[in-house]
Amino acid sequence: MSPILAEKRERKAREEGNLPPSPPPEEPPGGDGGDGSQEPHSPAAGGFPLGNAQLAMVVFIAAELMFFAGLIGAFLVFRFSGKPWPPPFQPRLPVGVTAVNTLFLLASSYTMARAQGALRGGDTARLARFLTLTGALGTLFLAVQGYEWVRLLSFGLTASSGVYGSTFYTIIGTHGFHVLCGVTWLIVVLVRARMGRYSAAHRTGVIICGMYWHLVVGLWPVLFFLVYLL
Amino acid sequence: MKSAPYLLAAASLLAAPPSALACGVCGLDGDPGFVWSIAFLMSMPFAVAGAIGGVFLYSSRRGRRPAGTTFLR
Repeated sequence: MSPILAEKRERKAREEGNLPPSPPPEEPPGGDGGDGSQEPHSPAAGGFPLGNAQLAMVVFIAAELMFFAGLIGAFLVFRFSGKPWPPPFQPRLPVGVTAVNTLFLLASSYTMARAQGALRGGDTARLARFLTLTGALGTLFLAVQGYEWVRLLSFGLTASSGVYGSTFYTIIGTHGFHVLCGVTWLIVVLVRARMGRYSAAHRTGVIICGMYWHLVVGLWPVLFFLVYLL
Repeated sequence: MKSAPYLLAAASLLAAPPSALACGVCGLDGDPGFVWSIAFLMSMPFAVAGAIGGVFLYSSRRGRRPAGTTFLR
């Protein structure tokens, strides 16, 4: 007998009272196994410590780290090739301004952590406030980077002006693109937060956005040290 | 003797000339840029895997402790 037919016969038998009522469906695993979320596929108490979305973000972050490792590896080949660096007659990079810009980006990681803490406590108003601050700091970082790039281009440092320019724009441009994607994602999360889509029990969206933002912020000091200071 | 092949391998390594121990790509006199780049890239998978393992360990321990306590208490 096919399973569909068997199910139909069983349902009919229950309706006619010939079988006891079927037991209620089992509750999906939940509980505070990790992030305290009660969403489906959230970590079960005593089970795997990460939910599905968080695990996916961890895998994505690992892939992004290896991607940037490849870019850094290529940069190291040229940087330590024995030739003068920076090459002669090339504009010097704005270390001071970028150092201040780095502080803005690091501050955005702090505000993101505060936003997550606010949501954990159920304070959605503070969540929205700190998400706005985080987005604003990220946008400020991008604006300052963009301004410095325009100045460097006007001074003659272009992607085709040699290895120095091409490695600079490739690495820093890739990171800037990641920051732009992060700011876009933050805006989406902020809009959803203002719509009341997140709560202490439903915060996976904010958590994974925070994971990506911390990745983007954590990468920058490494790139700043390698490209600007070394 | 079961450990004879391993002892022989260790003795061969110790007796090998320095050029035989060099990296197959960069060599002892290799371009320092390539040496640094290869060393960095070879270490990255272990660093990433170790970091992910640390995240899992931390999340697991944080999930097991009672609510209201911190990681160190």
